[in-house]
Amino acid sequence: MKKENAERAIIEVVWRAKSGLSGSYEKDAEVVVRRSLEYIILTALHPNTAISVILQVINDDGSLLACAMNAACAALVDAGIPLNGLLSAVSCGVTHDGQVFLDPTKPEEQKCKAYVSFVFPSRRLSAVPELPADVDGEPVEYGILTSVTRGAMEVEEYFSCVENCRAAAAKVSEFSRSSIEQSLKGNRDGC
Amino acid sequence: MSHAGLRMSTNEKEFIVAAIREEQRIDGRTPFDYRRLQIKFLKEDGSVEVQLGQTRVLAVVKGEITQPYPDRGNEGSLAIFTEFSPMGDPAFEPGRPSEMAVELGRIIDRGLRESRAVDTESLCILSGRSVWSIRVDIHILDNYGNLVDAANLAALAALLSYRRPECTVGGDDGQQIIVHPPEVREPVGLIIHHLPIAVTFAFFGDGNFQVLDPNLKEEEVMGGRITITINSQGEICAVQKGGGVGVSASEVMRCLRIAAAKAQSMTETLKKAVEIHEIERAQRKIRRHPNLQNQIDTASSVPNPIKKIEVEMEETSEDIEPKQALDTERGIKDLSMSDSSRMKSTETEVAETLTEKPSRAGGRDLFAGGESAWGDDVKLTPLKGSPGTRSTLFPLDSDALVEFDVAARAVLRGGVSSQRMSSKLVSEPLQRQISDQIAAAAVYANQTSPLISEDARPLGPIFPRVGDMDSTEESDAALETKSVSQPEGTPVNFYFSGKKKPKKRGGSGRQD
Repeated sequence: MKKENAERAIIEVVWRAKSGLSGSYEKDAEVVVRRSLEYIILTALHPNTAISVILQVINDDGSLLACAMNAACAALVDAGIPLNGLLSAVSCGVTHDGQVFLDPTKPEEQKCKAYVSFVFPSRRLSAVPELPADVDGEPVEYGILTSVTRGAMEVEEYFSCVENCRAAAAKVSEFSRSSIEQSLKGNRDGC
Repeated sequence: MSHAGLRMSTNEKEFIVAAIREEQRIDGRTPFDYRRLQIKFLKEDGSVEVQLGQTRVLAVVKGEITQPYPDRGNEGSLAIFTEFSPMGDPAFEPGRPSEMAVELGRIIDRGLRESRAVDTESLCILSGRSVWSIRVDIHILDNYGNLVDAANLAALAALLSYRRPECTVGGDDGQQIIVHPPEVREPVGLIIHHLPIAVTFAFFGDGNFQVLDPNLKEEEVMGGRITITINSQGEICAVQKGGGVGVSASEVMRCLRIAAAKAQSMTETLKKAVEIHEIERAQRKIRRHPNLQNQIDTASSVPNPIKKIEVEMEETSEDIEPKQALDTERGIKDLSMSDSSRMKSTETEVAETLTEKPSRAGGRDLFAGGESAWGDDVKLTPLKGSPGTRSTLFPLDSDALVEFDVAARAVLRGGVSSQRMSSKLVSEPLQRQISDQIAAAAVYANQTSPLISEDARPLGPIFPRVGDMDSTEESDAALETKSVSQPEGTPVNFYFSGKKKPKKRGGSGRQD
């Protein structure tokens, strides 16, 4: 149950499926989301506290985990929880003849050989070691935060997925930043 | 009735009660006013989100085949599951359902199942062996008071929009159940006899002040609550008053009378929303090919006659319906044609279909002018081609095109017989294909819609989604046998614009 921690906040994730009782898939998804969020939430700022993130599946048409991750991140920003960065999650599938495609829908997920969901951190770094990939001249952190695969794929295919998803995640990250800025502007004007 | 999460000052609580004594409510409503109601049908059949003011509830209906209860061998089952996740309210704890959640589930259950609103006998497949078990999951997305009414509406709307796969009993021993996927046979709806609407009142003071549809703050200060589940015929399905301040019988009778009136208007709103959803659902099933306009425009050999035809069709504004029918026709045909014959057939089958239809419908001209039922906000340009596709173009015979031009214009002006059409334009297999498609469309429309009336104003043709136009053998056979059994001269029924009273259909329709 709830483990209190006197030094930091604990993160609790509740994943509610659309229909039926919560099973192992939901528990697994909760753990994945929690571990990813632990990376960005500044838990040390709130000792003896619990931060609950509740995810309700309204419709599942593929790329569910990626969608949930993006939603959780946006919800944390909306709640005003102090974060040290944002997340951007993308998923892609691999067909039986080795072709990689982004953002599979449910029927595509069921028919492809394997699919993978990636979560990338999307935060700007202030100190600059030797990192590539700039966004507006500011260096951006590079690396895979979370990777969940379903099905078996070749190693080369996996790396190809990483590349494609990394590029897509940059776009997703741009979009989520601009959405957040828009919503904050709206909040300020008309509460 | 205190709410764990909400913390209100004594001042605020007293203010609310004092205002209600003066028949004023803090959100400006009159005592017997509902908040704004929005019913949103999600993409999947059986998923509905209801918004009552700021309260949001999601209901999801799922069905599966199970064994029946031993003492009710020929009845299916209906079960309601309510989940109060912390998403709706920070006071809700994950894990075991709280008292409130159980109570809500029971009220809805009594209203739907015990009043026999949902027909469970029709859910039986094999008596004593297999029945449909319908499960309704209710998720509270946002709690701002009066969850019962919102959840009940959501459950009702979800049950009305749910479609279960059709299954037949077959096999060697007559004991095998074949469940048909939705692409093969259109899923059927549930039989719902009446619509029980839950109406909740909150009591204040000594029980002599009542308000309808309390919001969260009013719930915090109320003395008691009563929920009346009643249908539009004035039949009480359930009454729930548990604890709280004592209320005199005359006050309860007053609430019952108000509830009866509210239930009627709520039923109307719900039915209207379901109707709109049905029409939109049917229109979604019409698959339109997005690339056909461009293909026709880029016919390299004879550009001018083709463009002339297109322009003509566009300019005749009163023939908007036929044009849309043409687009649809072309779309379906395009998908089923091979590349080489695509260009030629596109032109010819359009004319052919136009002439086919009047004769098929027994002389009645279905596309005789009239106001377009689609309205101004349907943009036709997205339905036309995009520059993205190029097909292998087939050089067209200019004579054929001119002849087609003449015939097409004549037909567009209203119901000319097919004699003027040159038969050399249309090939035998093409004719058969077209007539098959029309028969299938007629069958589809007849089979699925529970809301059609005989003399309804036609909206447009509806074609079955037979896979991706690569219909399986099974579905082809199914369609063919059905088209054979279609009686001659039956008018082809299309979806109507919603202004006519729906005709009741037996079997898989709704009755109320």
